[in-house]
Amino acid sequence: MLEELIIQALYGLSKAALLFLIACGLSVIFGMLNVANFAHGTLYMLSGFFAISLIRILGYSEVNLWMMLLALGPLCVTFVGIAFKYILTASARGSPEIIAVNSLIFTIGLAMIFNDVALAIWGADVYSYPKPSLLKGFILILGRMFPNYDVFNIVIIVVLGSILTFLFFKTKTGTVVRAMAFDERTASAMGIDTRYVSLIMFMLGSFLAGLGGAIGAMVGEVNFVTWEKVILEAFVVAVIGGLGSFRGALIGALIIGLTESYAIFFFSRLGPGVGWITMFIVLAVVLLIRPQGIFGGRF
Amino acid sequence: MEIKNKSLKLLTFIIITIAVLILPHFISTYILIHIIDTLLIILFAVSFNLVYGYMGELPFGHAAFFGLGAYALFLPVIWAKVNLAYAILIGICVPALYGALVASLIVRLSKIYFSLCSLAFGEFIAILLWSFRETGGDVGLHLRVIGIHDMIPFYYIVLAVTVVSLIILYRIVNSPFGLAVQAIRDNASRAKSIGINVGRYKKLLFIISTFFLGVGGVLYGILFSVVHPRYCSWLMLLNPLAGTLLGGAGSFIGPIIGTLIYYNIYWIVSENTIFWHSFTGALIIGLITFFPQGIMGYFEARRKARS
Repeated sequence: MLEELIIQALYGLSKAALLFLIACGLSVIFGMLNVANFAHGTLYMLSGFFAISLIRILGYSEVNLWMMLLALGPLCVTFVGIAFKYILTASARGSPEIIAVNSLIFTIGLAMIFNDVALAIWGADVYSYPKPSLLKGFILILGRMFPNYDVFNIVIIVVLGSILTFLFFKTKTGTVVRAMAFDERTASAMGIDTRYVSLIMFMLGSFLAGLGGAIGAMVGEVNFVTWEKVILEAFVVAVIGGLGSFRGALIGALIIGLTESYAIFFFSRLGPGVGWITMFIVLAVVLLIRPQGIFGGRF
Repeated sequence: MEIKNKSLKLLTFIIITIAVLILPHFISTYILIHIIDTLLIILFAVSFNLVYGYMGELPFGHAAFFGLGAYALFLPVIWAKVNLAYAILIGICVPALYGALVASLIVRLSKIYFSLCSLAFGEFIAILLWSFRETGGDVGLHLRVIGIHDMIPFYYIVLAVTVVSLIILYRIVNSPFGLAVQAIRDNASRAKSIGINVGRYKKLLFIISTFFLGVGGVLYGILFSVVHPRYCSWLMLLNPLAGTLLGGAGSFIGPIIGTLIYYNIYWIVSENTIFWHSFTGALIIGLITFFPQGIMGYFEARRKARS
């Protein structure tokens, strides 16, 4: 039983990796620009589509697969993300609170348009991204088969989590970002080029969402409604951790990933939506205790 | 174009009333269904505007109450063979009860947190109904309450319910209670300091809004004879949201006019192309960016500028 619980925890970590990749950008962007980007799930979806289409054009070699997965797919959506950033900042006016709600409505519209763009280009078919051969097999953990793909996800969350934590909390750039998230106006008065920094963070957030999309496309299929599910998960994670908080996104992703994994393990006979239901129950509990989220107000 | 003459106003009113009353006898059932649909979406938009316009928060998950009304009507009839009249009563009450639960959890939040948590509680219902076979799962539920030939009487029922609901809602937003809620929207701390119980007023308004959503949802379920988890998801909110933005949030008549205009254009678009999402999306973007006050807000501003 204990082994089973550990294996489930590992699956939860793997799930948490994807959640973290998408929620991190969402949360950090909200902290810096006060923009609740509902079109963030679109970036995830588009990255999967880009990676799949590019691999069809360039051919299914091993190097190509890795390149699409880690670089080209996410890079393509980074450019889409830059476009989003300029559209959003150009249209934002009013106090921060009003910007937040209006940008939510605005980005819903954006997401709806991209929903149709994806439908027009890729149709209503379901696509899947082939795994590189290294991620195809299994390894033995505690005498059980554990997919390489999930090991890769765990490596991703550990590596990226530590790199980003180091970046945000130990370097000068990180201090600038945290200062901006704390108070954009004062940061600007101190001589920080806030537009440049927020552009960089928007690119980073889009790249991470794109990475999540390309990785997610290997197991879950991609079609033009993928973003609806993804953005909901991302918002739940971000709200649990505290909107605008990087550590919150990390902790929120871990909490949701682990509880979902255990809930599916123990209560899977209740139906296919059991993971989602526990996710919302966790959200309700967190909101009752801490309405601002676990790391609310802190980066 | 302003109608100053009182008798002319009365005449217009009578003509519109007669036109609305004899309308179903001159059009095909297909268009009649669309008209009933529009009436219910108008009721949805006005209830939504109660929270969005008058309370000043965006209740992003409000569609859940609409869908829940239909589900709460269908489930007892299908699984417990409950009498239809009681089922309708259940269908109206369950959304208001869930609304009371949600309201007690989220009224202390504001702005974006309110929206996102409202969304979460709405999606929770959609996922819950989607994940069990007893509630119809992915396919939804089917229950035939009225046939295709009963649409004309049903039209009158829906018309009466909608008009009565709108009158009640109009009275509510212009009552001392409604004015207090608007005072909270404009300045919460000031309203609090003159003795308005902010939390309780907001909660009550939220529950009233969900109650009328339940009424609309029950009729919507009866109209189409099916319910689907999508009725509870935020996608269902897009049409009332676009209508409210077009007509102007914060005015009572705005969502009605906006929905009337928007929903008919939307209908034509969605009949002719599958790319109606981008129509709605582009409209929402344009409205929130360039025309946030809506049609009624525009006329209001012009009237103020003239006087």
